Amino acid sequence: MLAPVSSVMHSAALVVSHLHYRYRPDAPWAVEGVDFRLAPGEVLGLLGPNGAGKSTLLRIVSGLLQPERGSVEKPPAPGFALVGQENAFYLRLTCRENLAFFAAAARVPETQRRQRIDEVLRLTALQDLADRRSEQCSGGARRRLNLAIGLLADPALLLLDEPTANVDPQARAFLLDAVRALRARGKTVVYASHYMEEVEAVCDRIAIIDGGRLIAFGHLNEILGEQRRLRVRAPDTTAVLAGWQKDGDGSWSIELGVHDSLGGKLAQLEAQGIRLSNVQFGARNLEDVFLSLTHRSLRD
Amino acid sequence: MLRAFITKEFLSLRRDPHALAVLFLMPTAFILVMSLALRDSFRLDASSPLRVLLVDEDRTAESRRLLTLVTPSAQSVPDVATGQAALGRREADALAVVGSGFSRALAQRQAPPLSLLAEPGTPLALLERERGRWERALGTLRAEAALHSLASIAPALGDIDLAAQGGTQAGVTLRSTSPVPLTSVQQSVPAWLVFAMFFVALPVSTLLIGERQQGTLDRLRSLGVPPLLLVLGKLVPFYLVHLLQVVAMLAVGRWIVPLIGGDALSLAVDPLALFLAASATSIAALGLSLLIASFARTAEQATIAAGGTNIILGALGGIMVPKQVMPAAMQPITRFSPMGWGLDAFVDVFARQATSASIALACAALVLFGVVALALGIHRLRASA
Repeated sequence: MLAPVSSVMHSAALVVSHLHYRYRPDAPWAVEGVDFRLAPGEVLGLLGPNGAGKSTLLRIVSGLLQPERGSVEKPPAPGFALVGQENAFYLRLTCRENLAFFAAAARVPETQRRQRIDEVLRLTALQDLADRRSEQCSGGARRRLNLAIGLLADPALLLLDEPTANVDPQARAFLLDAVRALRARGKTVVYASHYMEEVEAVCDRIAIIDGGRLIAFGHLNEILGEQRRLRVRAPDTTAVLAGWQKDGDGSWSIELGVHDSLGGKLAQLEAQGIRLSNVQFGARNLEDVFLSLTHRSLRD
Repeated sequence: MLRAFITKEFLSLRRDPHALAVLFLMPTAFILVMSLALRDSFRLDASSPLRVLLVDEDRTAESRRLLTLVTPSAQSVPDVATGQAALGRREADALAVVGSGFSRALAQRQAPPLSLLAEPGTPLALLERERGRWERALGTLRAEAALHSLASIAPALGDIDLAAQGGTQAGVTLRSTSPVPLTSVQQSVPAWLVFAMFFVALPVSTLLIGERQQGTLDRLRSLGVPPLLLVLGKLVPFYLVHLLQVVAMLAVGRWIVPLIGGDALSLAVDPLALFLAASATSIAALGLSLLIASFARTAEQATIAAGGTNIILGALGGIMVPKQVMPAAMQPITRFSPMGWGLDAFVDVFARQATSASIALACAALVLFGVVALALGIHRLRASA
C-alpha cells in the first residue's frame, strides 16, 4: 500500500472495518479486507477501474449487501443516502412528484416535506423543471434529480456511485460544484469514480481500489508523493531493465526520488547500449500512481 | 407511507396508455363483442335469427303445406345449386331442401327426403334450434296425414287444423331456476373481467422489473423502507385498480352493452359475495403477477410471460369459450385454471344469486393460489436481490 490508512479519528462519520464480501461462497472476494474511517465533512474519492469493487463496497456500506466479515458504522437510515449510477426514480412522475414520493419513503416529516423539496430543487437547479415529467428531462437534469432525491432527508453521509456517468461536461461541472457545496455544508461524501480528474477536483482524500482491495489510501499529495517519474521508450530493447517497470508498447518507467539523478539513470541506459526513441520526465499524476500499482489503466 | 406508494402507482398508471388499454379498454371491447356474439347461445327463448332459403323439389300439396307450417315468409329459390350459390355469397345461413318424393315417403311412413344445408360459419346451436322447428312441422304434417286417413271413419277428424291449435309450437318451455337467467352479458362481464384482472400481471411485472433495473428498489431499501411495505406498496394499489376494474366492467355490462343491442347486466347480486369474489380473484392475480415478475429479467420477458400465461389460463378457464358451450368432456379442464375458479365465483354471483358462503370454496382456492404464488415470488425476488 502506497500510503497507510489514516490514523484513528476521534469523531468518525463512517467507519469501515475489515470488510469482506463475495457474491458466491466459491467466488473470489469482491471486497477484501477494506478498512477506512471518514471524519464529518470529508470527501473521499474512491478510484478504480470498472469491476474493481467500488459499487460493491458502496452497496455494503449502504446496507444493501451484508458483508461476510467486517462491519460498517454509519448514521442510521435516512441519515445516509446512496445515489447510484442509474436514475433510480419514476420516469412517468414529475420531478416534484418523485421528490414527494421519496420524501415520504425517507420519512421526512410531512410538515417539512414541501420546504425540503423546494430546497433540493434549488440546490440542484431543478426549479424550472419541477413540474415536468422526468422522462421529458435531459440526461443532465435526470442526474441532478437523482442527486436531489438523495439529498431529501438531509443525510450526513452521501454515497455517490459514479454520479457523472454518461453526462455532458456542463452537467458534470454542475455535479462537481454540488459536491463541493455539500462539503462546505459539512456533509461526508464517498465519491466513487473512474475519472481521476473529478476525484482530484473535489476530494480531500483518495482511496484506490482494485480487485476488491484498497491498494492506496490518503490525501492526494500523500498518494502522489514527492517522487517524479522518468519514462523512456526503447522499442528495440528485449532485455529486462532492472528496477524499471515495463508499461507496454516499448515504454519503461522508473520512480526517481529527490536525490536520484536523472542524468545518472539515462547514463546507465546508454552504458547498456539501449537506444531511446522518447524520454518523458515529470511529477506523477493519479494515472501514473494507478498504473504503477496495478499495471493497468484506470479506464480499463 | 403506504399512501405515497398508492399515489405513485396511480399517477404512473394514469400516464401509461398501454396499461390502461390492457386493463380497461381490452375487457370493454371483449364484453361488447362477446355479449352480442353469444347472445342467442344463452337465451332460453331466442327465436331463430337464421336466414333460411327454401327449395321445394317435390312441388306437392304436402311439401307446400310443410313450408307453410315452418316458415311462410322464407325466400324460395328454384333449385339447390342456386341456394348453395347464395350460401357461398353469405346471403343466407342455411338452405332447406324438400326433396322430390317427399309426399310419397310421407304417405308410406318412410323417412322423407328433407335436409338442411348450412353455411360453415353458422353456429351449431342455432342450426339445432332450426332443425327443431322443422322436426315439429314434420310431426304436425304426419299427424295431419294420419287424421286425414281416419276421416273415412270419422269425418270430423279431417277438419282438425293442428297448426291452428299450436301443433308447430314448441311444447316445452325452458325456464331458469334463477330469477335472473344467465344471459351472454352475464357470462361475458365476469369472463372478461377475470381475464383483465389477471392481465394486471403486465404492468405489475414490468414496473417491478423497471424498479429493479433502475435501482429504485435498492434506493427504497437503503432508505430503510421495510420489505413488507415494498410488497404492500405494489399489491395494495393494484388491488384498488382491480376494484376499479370491477366497477367499470359492471357499468359497461349494465349501461353500455344495451346501447348496442345486448342485454343489460343484472346487478341483483349479493354485494358481499361480489366483493369476496373480486378480492379473492385479485389476490390470485396479484400473486401470479409477482411470480411472473420474479422469473422475468427484462420487461420484454415479462410481457411475453404474462401475456402467454394469461391466454393459456383464459383458454383453460372458460374465458374464451364459455364452459356451458364446451362439450361435457372438456368442461372439467376449467378446474385447472385459477381464472376458471374466479369465473365460477363471479358467474355464481351474477347468475345464481350466490351468497358469500356458497362461493367460499372457489374463493378459498383463489386465495390459496395467490398466497402460494406470492410467497414463491417474494422468495425468488429476495434471492435474486
